[in-house]
Amino acid sequence: MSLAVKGKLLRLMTRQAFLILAATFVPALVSVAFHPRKPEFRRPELRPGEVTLPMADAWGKVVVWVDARPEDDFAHGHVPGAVRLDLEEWSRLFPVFLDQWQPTRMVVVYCSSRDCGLSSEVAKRLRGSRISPTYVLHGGWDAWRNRHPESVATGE
Amino acid sequence: VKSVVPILALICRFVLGAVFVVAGATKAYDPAAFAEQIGRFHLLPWPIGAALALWVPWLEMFAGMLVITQKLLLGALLILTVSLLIFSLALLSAWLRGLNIDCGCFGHALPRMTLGWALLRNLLLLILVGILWRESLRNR
Repeated sequence: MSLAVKGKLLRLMTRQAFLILAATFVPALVSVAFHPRKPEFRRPELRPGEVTLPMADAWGKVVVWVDARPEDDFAHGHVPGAVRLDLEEWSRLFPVFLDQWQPTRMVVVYCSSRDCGLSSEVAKRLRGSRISPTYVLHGGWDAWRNRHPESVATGE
Repeated sequence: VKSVVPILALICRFVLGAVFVVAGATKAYDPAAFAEQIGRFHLLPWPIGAALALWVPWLEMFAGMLVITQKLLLGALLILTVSLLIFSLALLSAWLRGLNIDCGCFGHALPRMTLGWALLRNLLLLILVGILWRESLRNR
């Protein structure tokens, strides 16, 4: 291959690559505006023991979801398969939770929103009962509803 | 032997293209999860990782599709080569730092792949890319 041909090929290749790069910006920008699962550009500040929903999603079926909200809220809508736990009814609800849990699984507790607090109390109690690893869901039920609006269970 | 080479190149094109289309599609479905996976490599500031999570999956899908259809082939091959080299460097650095993380290459559509296996797979893909380079430059 002569030097002139090589130069021509190199220019062609670079031009094509830039064309592709430019074309992919279009769907990327559409995603920035409209994608239902777009990432936050400011990393959420996690408190110790907290986990973000995309991270918990990545763990998949290993997760046991624990709902720390009042019974009414739970009945109105909860994470599919979630078990309800609260400190007042601990002796009644904890055995139900133990039926679902195994040492190989990971526990993620949520309450209604980012600052609801109930989830950290339940998580603390679970860790105290040697249920580990136990995490608190950052953003709580609000985060779930935003990210998985199609995946909401209702009833008992 | 001469008749075997084009068939081999055809298979390479389809395998390479399909791998990238699938890898791109699984991540384009959930860029938030992909951003988390990029974050766990601890190589980039969070906002840059988030931007890449929204963009790179499309780049993979486009380049994969173009390799299959043989449109803008040289440009697509250049992009796949550079991407594979960058991904491999990221995997290697994570491996050397002893990070216990998932490759993140296919979102969470596939079971977890250890970094070593992911590196090996990237090497195989680079061989496919090499074969395609040879083929497409020889025909000119």
